Amino acid sequence: MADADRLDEFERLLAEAGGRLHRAESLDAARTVARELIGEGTVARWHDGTLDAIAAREAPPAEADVSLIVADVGVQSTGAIGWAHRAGRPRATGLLPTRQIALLAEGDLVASVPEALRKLGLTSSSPPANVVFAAGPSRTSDIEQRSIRGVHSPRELDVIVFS
Amino acid sequence: MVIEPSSGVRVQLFVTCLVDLLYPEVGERTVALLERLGCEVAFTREQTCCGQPALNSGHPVAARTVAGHFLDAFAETDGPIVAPFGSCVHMVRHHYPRLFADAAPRQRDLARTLGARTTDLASFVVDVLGRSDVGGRYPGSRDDAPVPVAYHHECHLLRGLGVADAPLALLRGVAGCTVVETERGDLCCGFGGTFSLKMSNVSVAMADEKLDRALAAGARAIVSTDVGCLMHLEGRARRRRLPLAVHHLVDLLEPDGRL
Amino acid sequence: MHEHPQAEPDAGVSLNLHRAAGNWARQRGVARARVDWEQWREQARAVRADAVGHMDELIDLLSRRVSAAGGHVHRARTAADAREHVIRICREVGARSAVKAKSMTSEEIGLGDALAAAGIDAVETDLGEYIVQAMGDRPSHLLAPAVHLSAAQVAELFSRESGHTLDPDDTRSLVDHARDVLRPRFLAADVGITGANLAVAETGTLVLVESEGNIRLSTALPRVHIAVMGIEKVVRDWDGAAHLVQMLPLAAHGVPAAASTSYITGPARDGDDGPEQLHLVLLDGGRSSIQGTEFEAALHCIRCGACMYACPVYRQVGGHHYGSTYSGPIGAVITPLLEGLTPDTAELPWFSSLCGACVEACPVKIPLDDQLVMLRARAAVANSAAAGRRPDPEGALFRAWAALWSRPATYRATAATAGRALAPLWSTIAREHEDGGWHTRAPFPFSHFTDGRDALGPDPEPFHARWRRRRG
Repeated sequence: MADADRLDEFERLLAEAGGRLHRAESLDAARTVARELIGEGTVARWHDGTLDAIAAREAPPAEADVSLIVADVGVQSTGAIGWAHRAGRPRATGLLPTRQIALLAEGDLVASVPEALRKLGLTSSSPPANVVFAAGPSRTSDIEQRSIRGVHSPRELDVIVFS
Repeated sequence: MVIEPSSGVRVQLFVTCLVDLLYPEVGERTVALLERLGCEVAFTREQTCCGQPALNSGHPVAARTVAGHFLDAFAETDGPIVAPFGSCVHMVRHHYPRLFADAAPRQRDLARTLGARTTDLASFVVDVLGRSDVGGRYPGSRDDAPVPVAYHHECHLLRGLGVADAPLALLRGVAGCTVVETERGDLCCGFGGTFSLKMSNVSVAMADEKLDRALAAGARAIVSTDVGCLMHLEGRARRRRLPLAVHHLVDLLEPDGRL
Repeated sequence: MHEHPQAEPDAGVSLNLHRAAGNWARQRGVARARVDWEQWREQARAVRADAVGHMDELIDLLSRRVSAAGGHVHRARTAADAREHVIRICREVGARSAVKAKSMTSEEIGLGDALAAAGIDAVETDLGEYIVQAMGDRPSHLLAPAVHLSAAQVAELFSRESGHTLDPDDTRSLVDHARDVLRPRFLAADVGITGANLAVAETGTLVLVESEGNIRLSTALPRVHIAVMGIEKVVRDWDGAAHLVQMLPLAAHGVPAAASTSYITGPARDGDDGPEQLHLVLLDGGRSSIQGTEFEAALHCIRCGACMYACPVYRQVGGHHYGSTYSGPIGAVITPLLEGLTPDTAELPWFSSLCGACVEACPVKIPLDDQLVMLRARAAVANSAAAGRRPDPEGALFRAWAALWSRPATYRATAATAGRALAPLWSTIAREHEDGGWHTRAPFPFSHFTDGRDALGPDPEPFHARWRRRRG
């Protein structure tokens, strides 16, 4: 599948899962989109160069409105983004704020789940301690089968893909 | 309507104990239909029952005794073995191999070869004889006022044997009725053999769901192939005095069929 | 043949279950359209068959890999062993509070009660489980534990908890209440206790799948993570795990991926802020006794819940009537196998009309209908053994039936008796209404048939007699 089709498919599945895709032509453009999405909110972010020059007001994860992370991989066949936790990438950051924004480089969008697992090092002899794949925001239908987005972890997920 | 006779296929009727004892007209109509389609129908009086009631009730030894006789009854016959519905066919094809897995070679081989020869009426007519329209008429109906009928998929035919289209195709060829779509027509009617006795309340609730859905779709009759389902659904419809007739498919394909 | 005493259709439960089953049936179509479903099922079956067939060896490999990654492995032969491990670990780390994320295995071993008895404050964090725990109730469905409850009941509970009146139709506010109650519990908990959907032996990785985010919170914030898992959940390698992790959400919800999937290999490392300790409690609980038997395929189950959504009997009676942790078709099979055949568990294989909907729904092709029939045979043997010298009526009935019906002459004689003599006799005795062959009361052993239906009596002239008369 051509790259354009791959991104379209990813966008469709992400949307079905309740997330939103934004396209940016460059990392700088992506940062601009992120700034617009954040608006007046406070941000908890990972320490990753990709996320520099975005956040205005930072706050601890338990108080911030928005979390800002980097996705190591996107999966075309499921609409999910994935990442590995390590120093500078606290788990709490992505879990506590109600909204989540993730930046994903287009070259990191792979076709399938097996590829994504390999790319994150899970199939190597020493996988990372914690890898997470998120397909859309959290959800439940535990009350009379009514579908609600956003339980504990993010209620909203915005993925900004940049070339 | 011209019906071409087929090449005089000799067919063994596997009437099933339920049809034999409770629904003999279904047996007669089955024979009449097959003969109209050019088959020579043989009926071995050796046959009794396939053994399914005992197996499903948790008595495989008793089932095997009776099933062993089934093997003997059909061992010396030739030609396709045709039953009016699927669940006994499923017993022979699916369960006999395991039932006779540690039996003598003769029985093991017979279980396999007879299973391969055994099929249900609708599949035989459509897939073997190549006839997906054999006409027929809904009793007492007029062409300008077709009776809406709901088709109930017999579980062992639909899921056990993978047959969905053949009986529906035949039903659609029947004059004087029209098939209405019911919600979840693939759901079990709740008969399940001895289940209807052991969990009678649940069994009846499942029948009610089936009957209510048929009525909601505007049907005035339910058509199926398994006489166990028919007996259970009609019994419940009668108890509730519902305006629903219950028919075997062959009742419509060959309404005047007699031996 | 006796009627199961408790399994009555329950209208309230039934309504929710019907809605859930309807949603699932629609989504199922979507799932099948996305992939070559039958080929995927066969592959999933093969992966599970390989894993369960080599369970001992793969559990050993898994244990070595988890330890190499810095985790601790604890083997538990019984539920009591598993409970002891968890309580001991909690005591060793000085845990006073715990958050529990969705785990049928922890329900199976009765962990909730054990934690409470040990003075550890453990709250269920899965929304349905939280509701059920707060109501002092028990979960009724694998994926939707509160499916038997109404929004009104939930709103009433949450209104009492919060001190404000919550509107049952404002589902958002109900969910937000649960989030507000649980957030401080996550932040304060010493221990996070979860199950695991799969464990990859190749690298010692636990795979945890969820919708709500409570598993990630339970495995991120507390300093100790305890995972309790049945030994049958192991898979050999990443090829198999990758396939199953895609299969699970497709079978369960018809979607290509769960909201969150966590892959956990040992405790936190490399400056990651996760738990300092990872403990894996591996539960046998009777599973190894099923391996190597004709029921081994039941261990292939990946706990997707599809069979429950498909089953028309489950939909009528709800999960509680199964009286065990696991309900629905898979529950009816594994409960007597794990717990042994008791008078109660021996009823479970009868919670089925053998319609095969579960077999069709199962992503790993477990032949549940055949297994239910085999269990009925086991139950019948157990019944007759228990009956001892007293005659076992049902067994005797079928033996007599077999003797009569394996000979054409006696088969025909039975038909003649039933058709010509018994029916009118019964009409007289039972003073019941007879109409065109239909009776309002059926004789022993069929009497329950006419509890809710009329019964068709035997025809005075069976087919074989008609053939004899007309065709010689």
